[in-house]
Amino acid sequence: MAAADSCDGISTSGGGWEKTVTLVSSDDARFEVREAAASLSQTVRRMIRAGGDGGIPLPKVDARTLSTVLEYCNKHAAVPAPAPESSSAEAAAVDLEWFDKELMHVDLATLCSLIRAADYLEVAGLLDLTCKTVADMIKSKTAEEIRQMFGIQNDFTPEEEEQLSRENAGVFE
Amino acid sequence: MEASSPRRKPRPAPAEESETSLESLPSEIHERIVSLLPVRYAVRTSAVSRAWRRIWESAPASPSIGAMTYADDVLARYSHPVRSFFFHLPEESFQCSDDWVPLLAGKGVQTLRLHFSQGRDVEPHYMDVSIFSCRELTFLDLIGCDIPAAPAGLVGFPNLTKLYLHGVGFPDNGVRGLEELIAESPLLQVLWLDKLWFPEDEDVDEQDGHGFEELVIRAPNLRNLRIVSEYDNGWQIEELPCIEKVEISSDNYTTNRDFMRLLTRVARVRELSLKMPKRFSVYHDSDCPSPHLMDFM
Repeated sequence: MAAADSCDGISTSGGGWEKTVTLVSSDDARFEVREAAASLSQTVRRMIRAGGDGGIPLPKVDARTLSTVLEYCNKHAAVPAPAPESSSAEAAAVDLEWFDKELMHVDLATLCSLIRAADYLEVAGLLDLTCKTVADMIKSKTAEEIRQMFGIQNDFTPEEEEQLSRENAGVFE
Repeated sequence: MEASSPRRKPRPAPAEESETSLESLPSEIHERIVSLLPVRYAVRTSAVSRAWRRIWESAPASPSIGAMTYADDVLARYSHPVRSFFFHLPEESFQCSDDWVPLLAGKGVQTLRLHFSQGRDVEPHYMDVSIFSCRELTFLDLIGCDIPAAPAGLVGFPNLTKLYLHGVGFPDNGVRGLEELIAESPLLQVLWLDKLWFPEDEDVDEQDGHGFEELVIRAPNLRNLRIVSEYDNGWQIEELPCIEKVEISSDNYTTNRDFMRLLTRVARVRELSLKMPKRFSVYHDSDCPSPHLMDFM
């Protein structure tokens, strides 16, 4: 689908083809990405607008994390918004959902890096997805289970703990 | 830059550790995560650590409050809008709803589902009139309660699209109360009425002979209508230009209701299901209001 591209990209490859931009990770890996995909990141989109050459530096994201973020962006930008009622739209939505689920099969450290990257890059969909994934891990766990899962220290004094359990009586059953 | 340098074994490399732990994420992210939890679980996170202590109280999204013993405490402490509230109340807690509903009205609740437990000897709970102050409601689902007469000017719900009433009574204004509630909720798309009760009206009994005041349903956007009743309350349908699916099931059908009128009104629906007791024998080819209606029978 030839989407109307009115963006003033800084780097293009191939006249009639889609514009691409180059992103540079903190560890100097270079990724050439379709501008439509890269623009899912509001941070990148602003940098594209600002112009410049030699690629867009993203000093807060390492190559491994960035490649996952771009996997997400490529997939999600590939879907042209079809008529919401059509059956192909439904199939595309199901496909995306599967893709998202698969993408979230990562360990906690990776997940946290992805959250951090999605936050910094302002990829709203990915930030939602990653936070939802953590929320699902927390859900129906007790405070102690949550601490264990995420390696969080219990820094309450016994008095505070008692007060908490009084405040939240009925919630911790 | 640093990522390529090999990790040293002896020390757990604090910088790297903190970068990838949940604790290291900015507090807005914690709030975002907690806001995605149902409040019951969100409240629980306050016991995780000091850093997590008050996150849930200020988490920006409007959460759903599910079954939880101390809902009133949570409602009072939670500072943001509450989008959805769903609660099963045992008999001893019926009164709690009178505190919750005004709070929920103030928090712009959009989905309100209150299920009062029903039992042989359980008096239905008389709802607080503040139910009519929940102007943001889009979905109202009530089981086992009585609905009071609406205060002037607050008769229906301007945004309501789904209304489920099961075992609900209208002691103050009877059938007219329900009629008005429906008519004054103009966006209503789905209406399920299940075993409702209305105070008996002796006058009607005498005049019409069918024992019930007629309920006329008027809803310009209604698509889906389901009525289940032990007794036929003589409901009739009017002005339902968008109706797609109708399901009516009545155990004890009164003999002299105007069936033709009812069937004529629903003749255009895509899906029609009628469950009537044996005495229902109106059908003959000649007086069927619409030829394709026969397909449903």
